[in-house]
This record gives sequence, structure tokens and C-alpha cells, in this order.
Amino acid sequence: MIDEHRQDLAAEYALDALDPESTRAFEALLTTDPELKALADDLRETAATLAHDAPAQLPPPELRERVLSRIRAEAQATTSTPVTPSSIEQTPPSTVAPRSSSGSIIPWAIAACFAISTGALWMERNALQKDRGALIEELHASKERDNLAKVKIAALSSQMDAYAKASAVIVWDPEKQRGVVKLANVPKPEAGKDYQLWVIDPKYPKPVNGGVVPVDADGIARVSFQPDKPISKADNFAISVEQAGGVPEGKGPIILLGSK
Amino acid sequence: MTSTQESDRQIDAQLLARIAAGDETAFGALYDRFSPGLYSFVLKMTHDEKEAEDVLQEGFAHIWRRATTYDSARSSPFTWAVMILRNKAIDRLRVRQRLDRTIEKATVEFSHFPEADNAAAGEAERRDQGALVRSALTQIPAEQKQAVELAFFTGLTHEQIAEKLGAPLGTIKARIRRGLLKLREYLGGVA
Repeated sequence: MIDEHRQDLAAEYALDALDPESTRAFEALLTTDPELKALADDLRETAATLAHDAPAQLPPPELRERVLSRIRAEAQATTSTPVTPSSIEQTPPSTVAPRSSSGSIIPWAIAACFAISTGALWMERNALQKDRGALIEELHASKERDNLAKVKIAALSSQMDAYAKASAVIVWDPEKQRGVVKLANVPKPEAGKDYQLWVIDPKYPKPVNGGVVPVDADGIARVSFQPDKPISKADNFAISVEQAGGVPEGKGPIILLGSK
Repeated sequence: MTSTQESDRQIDAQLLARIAAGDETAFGALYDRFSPGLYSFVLKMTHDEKEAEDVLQEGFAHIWRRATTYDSARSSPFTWAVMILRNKAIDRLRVRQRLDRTIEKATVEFSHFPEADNAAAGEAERRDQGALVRSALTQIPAEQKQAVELAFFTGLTHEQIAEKLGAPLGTIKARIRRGLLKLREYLGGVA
């Protein structure tokens, strides 16, 4: 019988919810307790079955080729790693003498050496492949950290008395060309009007449309946006009042503007 | 486990063994078998198509690189793949949570200083499994279902779930444990 504490641990383990140290300790425990191991494995299978609860959606067809291209590129890079089998290269073909009728042991010895060196190279290649995989993962993790560090945060201030209490914060990710705008204490726009976000990029003569920003009954908005055009440098952001549904070029009054 | 599920599991395990040996055709076949279910799952976690595509790509690249580490004694190939993609998705959700916290913090700070600057094959079988899972989820108490779903789909730690639901950590752990144990009972033939 497994006590509740161990069942708790098994459930947490199944959900990868244990910290690394607890995970190591629990895995050590599993090696001595087959019943607990069976429970942990069962709970992991059960938890994974929850994935079927998601509404059925098909990935875009082109994603398959992207995934295959990526693994081909990785395989190619691994193959092109300069693992030069010197022992093979230094083995002149002439030394592989034809098997003599007397059954000389030399060719077999050479073949054995070749097999050993090939096996060693195979293991080295696998080790290199694993190292490379770990490095690529680290690179992705580092990239995510870098991405987070690169985001720009801008606070917009009111340009009109009616919006004096309003606050607006924009987080812009230049690499992904996407951002999030959050508004608070903003009155509902009058009928037939909407708030619209603009991105000011010196590359363009006019502000770039960032889309309509719908505000809820509490005067709060939190919207992800992607400007109409590629942004080289988001110098500033502005929010104006425009016709409902938004307009391609801003004409209405700017109510919130960032400082340069 | 039904004979179809057992057969699927064997096919998937054979494909993984071939992938471990660098067989790209086997990888394509596994992608075709797993990608619909995994994409739906990751989309449910991230609520963002672009992010779900990125996670699927990263997850399958990981499967390609680590196929040699798959242990058939520990889990089915699909469970192994689900857990890989779940962890990838959780990593992204945590980055997003940090971003959200940054926004929240900035909103609070700047609201006081307004002048300051600056989400195939075997598919029919999986749909059936989906119906069974949904049915099983209706069989367990709502509070256990809520705790299990939060733990599995959101990437929140048990401490964060306790905080979110305003319940003691021990209670949350017990709900998750009981919920999973009951699900295991109901899904005995599926999992």
C-alpha cells in the first residue's frame, strides 16, 4: 500500500511538478519501489491522456516541411562536423590484402581494427550529436532570454484632460514584430468611435496602424497587436480616437502619447 | 488497453527506434501520426497559433535529437511526446507570464507617474479517446477537475494554483492526486 505522501509525490512527478532535486530523490526511490514506479508511470500515462481533451485542430500543412527541413539541416550539420576518421584515412587500401589461400590472420586483424575504430568513431559521432543537441537547446533558451531583454516598454501619457487618469503601457518585441498594449482608466469611446494604436517609425512618413484597441466596461484593455507594416524602429506610440473599426491613416485626436 | 491501442503503441515505438537510427522517413511518419493531436494540445495550452506552431517545431526537433533516450518501459511513445511538448509549451508560458508581470509592474509604476518614459493515421482513434477523456473528466468532482486541468495545461506550479484558487497547498496537492487517481480508474482502458 502506497501512503498518501508518496502518492502525492507520484502525482507531482507525473506532472513534472517536482523541482530537480526532489525529482532525483524520487527517481532514486523508484528504483527500490516497483509498486511506486508502476503508480508513477500510470499517472504519467493518465496525465498525458488529458492531451486528447483539446479540441481537434490540424497544424498548417506547410509546418510539416518546416519541421522536416529543420531536422535535415541539423542532420546535415552533424554529418558535416569535421570528424575525420584518421585511422580510416591512414589505412591504405593496399594493406587490405586479398584473403590468401593459407588463411593469413593479417586481413582479419586489419578488419578487426577497422571495426573497432569505426565503432569508436560512431560513438564519438553520437556523443558529438548529443552535445550539439544540448547546445542547440541552450541556444534556444538563451534566445528566449535575449528576446525578453530586447523588448521595449513604453508608457503613454495623457494629451487631454478627459484622459488625465488613463494609463497606457506598451510592450514591443522588435524581433517578433508584435506587441501588447494595456490601457486602464480609459473611458468608453463615444458611439461610432474606437481607440486606435499607432506606431511611429522614422522609416515611414506617417504613423503605422497598430489596430483598434477595444476597451471593456471597466475602462481596461489588453490587446496583442501586429502593425500593418514592418517596423524598423519603434520610436514612439500613440493612441487616437477614430471611426469605429479603425482607419488606415489617423485623423482623430491623439489622446495618449509616449515620450521620445 | 485495447488491441488497437497496443498495436498503435508498437508501431510508434518502432518508428521511434528507426528515428533513433536517423531514419527521416520514419520521422515523417511519426509526425503524420502525432502532429494533429499534439498541435491541438499545444494550441489549447498556448491559445496562440503562431506559438503552437513554434512549440510543435521545437518539440519534433527534440524528438528527432532525443529518440535514443525513449524508454518503452516507462511510457508510451505518445505520452513521451506529449510530455516533451508540454514542457516546451510551459517554458513559453512562463516567459509570457514574466512578460505579463513586467506589464503589470510597469502599469502600476507608470500610472503613478504618467509623465515617465517608457499566446492522419490514428486520428479517428484519438478523437474517440478525446470523447472518453472528456467523459471521464465529467465523472470527477469539479474542484479536482479544475486542479488537474490547471496543473496539466497552464504550467502553473502547485503553489501558484493554490494561490490562484485561494486554497491551502496541501488541499491542492490532494485534489490533484485524487483527481489523477480517479481519472486513471475511469481511463483504465485508455491510458
